Amino acid sequence: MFPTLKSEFRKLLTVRSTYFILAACLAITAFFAGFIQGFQVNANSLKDPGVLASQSTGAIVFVGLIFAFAGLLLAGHEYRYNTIMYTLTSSNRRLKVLFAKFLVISVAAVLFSLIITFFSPLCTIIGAHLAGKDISPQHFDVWKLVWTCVFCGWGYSMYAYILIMILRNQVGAIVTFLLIPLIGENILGLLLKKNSHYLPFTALQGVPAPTELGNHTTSGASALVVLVYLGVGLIVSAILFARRDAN
Amino acid sequence: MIQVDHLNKRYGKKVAVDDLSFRIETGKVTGFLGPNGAGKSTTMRLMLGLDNGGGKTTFDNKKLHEYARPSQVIGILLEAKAFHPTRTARQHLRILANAGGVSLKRVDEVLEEVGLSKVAKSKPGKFSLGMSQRLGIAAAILGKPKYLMLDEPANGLDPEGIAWLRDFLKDYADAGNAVFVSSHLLSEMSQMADNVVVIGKGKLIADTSIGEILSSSGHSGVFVRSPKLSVLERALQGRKAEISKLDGGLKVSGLTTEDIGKLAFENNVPVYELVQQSASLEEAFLELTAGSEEFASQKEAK
Repeated sequence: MFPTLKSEFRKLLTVRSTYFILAACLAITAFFAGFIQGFQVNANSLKDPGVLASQSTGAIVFVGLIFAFAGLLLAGHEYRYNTIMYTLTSSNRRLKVLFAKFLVISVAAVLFSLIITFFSPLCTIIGAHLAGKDISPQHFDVWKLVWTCVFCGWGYSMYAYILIMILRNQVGAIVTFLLIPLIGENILGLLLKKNSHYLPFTALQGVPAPTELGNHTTSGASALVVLVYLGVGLIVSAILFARRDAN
Repeated sequence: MIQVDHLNKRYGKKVAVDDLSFRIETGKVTGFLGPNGAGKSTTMRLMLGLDNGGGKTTFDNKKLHEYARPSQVIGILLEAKAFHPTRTARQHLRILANAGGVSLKRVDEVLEEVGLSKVAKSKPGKFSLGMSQRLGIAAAILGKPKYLMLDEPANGLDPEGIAWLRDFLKDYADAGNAVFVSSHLLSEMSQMADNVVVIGKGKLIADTSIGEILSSSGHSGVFVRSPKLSVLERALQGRKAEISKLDGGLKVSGLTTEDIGKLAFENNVPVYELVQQSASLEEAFLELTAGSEEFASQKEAK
């Protein structure tokens, strides 16, 4: 298992796309949290005692989706460039490969989410400071903020991972991954109304920001819904990965 | 020894591999021949467990997944361009070394061995097909495996590269390893391989040595030229020989040059030319696979 893990980490860290996506996420966060929400924002908005916490949750809901592409590409490149045959013949169990990718993507997503959770409010503080604005004393549950943001970032990456392992087509997985939250769930949300928080991406976005769902759920309940989707998705992808031809 | 037993694979109604059994011996280069669409690549993938199908393949009596580090048992090259184009050649091999539990020092050794040291830091997306093949071979030998399985490794190699590959594979087999290699370059295969496995439409056609396959070809025989051909022909008709007229002489199958020389002497027939003719591997291959081509032009089909 350890050699497979080392190999998967090396794969993630030796492609340009990982660094490009990371840099894009940090730049977007810096722009929105630092410039728009810190430097340019009305000074009254900074008097809200939860303004910094909302920067973290807002950032992870948006850039968490983008960072998920790093995980998607880690698996997608294997099929696009047919390196999957080397990966599978280097290991004596296919599920080892699946699990190693799961772990590597999880570690990357958790680290990224932690960075964004603190980087986003930091950008707001710096932006406000540069504009000469004061931020009111902040009141929020740090532990809850951290776990909900990390869960959201991890959840996005897991959804992307499950999609690519099932579809095995990079372009198809990218399009599907974007269409489901941006169009699919918005349309379904109109039909399902209050029950839309049971949709996979809506539930995930409800973990760091449950109030946006109209107080129908708590972070914990939304996380539970997400875990059910992830559990089923991972089981399906594991069965397919073990039984299908390599590519 | 690699033992392949009753491999089979279907894609819907189409049978890609049909009850295929053969063995690959150590110390030898075994060629894998067949027309396009015969099922060579599918067979290789089945042997490695990349495709799911019936039958089994054992490597020294153990299935590949029973080994802790399969890439140290068999090295593969199934596709020349199987790498991420923007990772350097060295990074590509380091990933494979990590996955196979191989020391990273080995990466530079294999790059040197295949002649890619100078481009170790280059991105293989810009490599020619020949360079890509060399990188693929480097990947295959990374774990110093006992078995090598190469699918069309000579494609894209220049003459110097082909000569290098031939010597390399022969040396690898001579060191007590087994090399299983498919190729459409039949002249190369005849120089490189000790044994050949020939398949057509997924079925085994021949599993034998190169010498055997050439000598059993209808294109093999003895050519004899004489001013008294009719006398010699009458004398030969009493023997179990196949005779045909060719280029002002006779082509005789089923008798040796000694047999024919003796017969000519006994019948007072002067002989101007008496020579053993061997079929080329191409002739033998075309003869063996006639009718089993998946894709043939109308002219060929006629």
